[in-house]
Amino acid sequence: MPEQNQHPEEESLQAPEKLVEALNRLQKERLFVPPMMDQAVLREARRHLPRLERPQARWKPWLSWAAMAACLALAVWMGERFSSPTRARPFALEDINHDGLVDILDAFALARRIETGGTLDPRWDINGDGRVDRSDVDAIAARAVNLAQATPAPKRSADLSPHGAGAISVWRTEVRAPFCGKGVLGVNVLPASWRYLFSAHRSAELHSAVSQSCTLPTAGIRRRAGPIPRSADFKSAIRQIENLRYKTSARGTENRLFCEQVLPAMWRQHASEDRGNHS
Amino acid sequence: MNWLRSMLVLLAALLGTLLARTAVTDQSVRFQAVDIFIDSKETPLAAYQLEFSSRNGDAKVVGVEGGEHPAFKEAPFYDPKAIQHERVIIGAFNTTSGGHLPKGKTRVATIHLQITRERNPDYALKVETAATLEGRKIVVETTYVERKPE
Repeated sequence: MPEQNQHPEEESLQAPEKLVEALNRLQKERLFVPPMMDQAVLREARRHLPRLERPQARWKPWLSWAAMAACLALAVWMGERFSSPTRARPFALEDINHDGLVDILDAFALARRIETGGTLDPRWDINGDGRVDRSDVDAIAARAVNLAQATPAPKRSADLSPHGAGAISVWRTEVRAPFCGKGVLGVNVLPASWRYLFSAHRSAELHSAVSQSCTLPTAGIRRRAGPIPRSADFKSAIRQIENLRYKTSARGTENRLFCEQVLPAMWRQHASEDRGNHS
Repeated sequence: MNWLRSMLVLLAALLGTLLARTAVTDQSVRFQAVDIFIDSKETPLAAYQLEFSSRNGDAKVVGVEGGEHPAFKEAPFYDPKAIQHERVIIGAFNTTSGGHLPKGKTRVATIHLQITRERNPDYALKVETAATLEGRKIVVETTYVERKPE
């Protein structure tokens, strides 16, 4: 059975025999093009083509180095801005000896300058009375021993005990947003005994650009920043501590009872729940 | 009349119990003086700043007094807000010549405390800075001694 041609259009593509013979003859009888003609064509082509080409920017090596330096500077700036929120600040007015701290040595230095007749900077007029004198020394000394601006107390193992739960930490979290400066996220008051949870429960959304600082609680004890517990416990702690603050201002006895009984109970409950979750 | 007599006896017993309880409560609050010493070895001590605190919160500051050496005889600087609290930062300096400054171990201050519990409180003492007359920071040793009641 003859095979049917399913593509009849292919037959029409076959060249006529005369054409095939003419082409074969053309291959045999090659035309000779003199080299002068080639050179002339090439010369005209070179003259013509540059007008059709788009003007391309020339590669400048110094530009790549400049771009690399700019990227490096940007990376350093961003790293400095976001990874070290406690970057060096200008010295405080009271920091007479420029050691980064306002302590009794600053008052001592200013007192020595006054007594020895040394050069007095007008900026050392701390109390703003227009003179740099002994009252400014006293003002610096008062700030040096001020409980509110002093460094926090060192961490102690006893703080993790239920008794240590009576010590309250005041949390301030500063979130630095790119190009928006910084803002205070909130003030959270936490029992110091929950600080051990901080490393485990530090939330990712706060971890990137967060700096912590703590200030004096109402009881006057300054401690290091505490942990961020789980959200439910966190809200409960906030409610309890707000209640505590009220009680602190009202009656010290209730404050003491609260610190000795309620907070340890919360601590024990939290610890048992935490153990249950881990098991 | 027997019931009246028994009632009087009962009333006397109740009053006695109440008075005894009040007396016990009063005994639980006491005052104590803690002497603060700084040992600067052979270096004249011109300035110091240290932090004193009660670890368990059983003692509250009620007063701060100067030391024994004439250079630190006056009461040191301290925050008045520390009164009735468990923590205080004290600091003092003297700008007189080195010959009038204390060397070795000297009592620089005395802190008066109100003890609210019968148990002995636990104190913490941390030196923050100390310096010579030229303002050079030096390493000193600090100790405290609870003064015994006279």
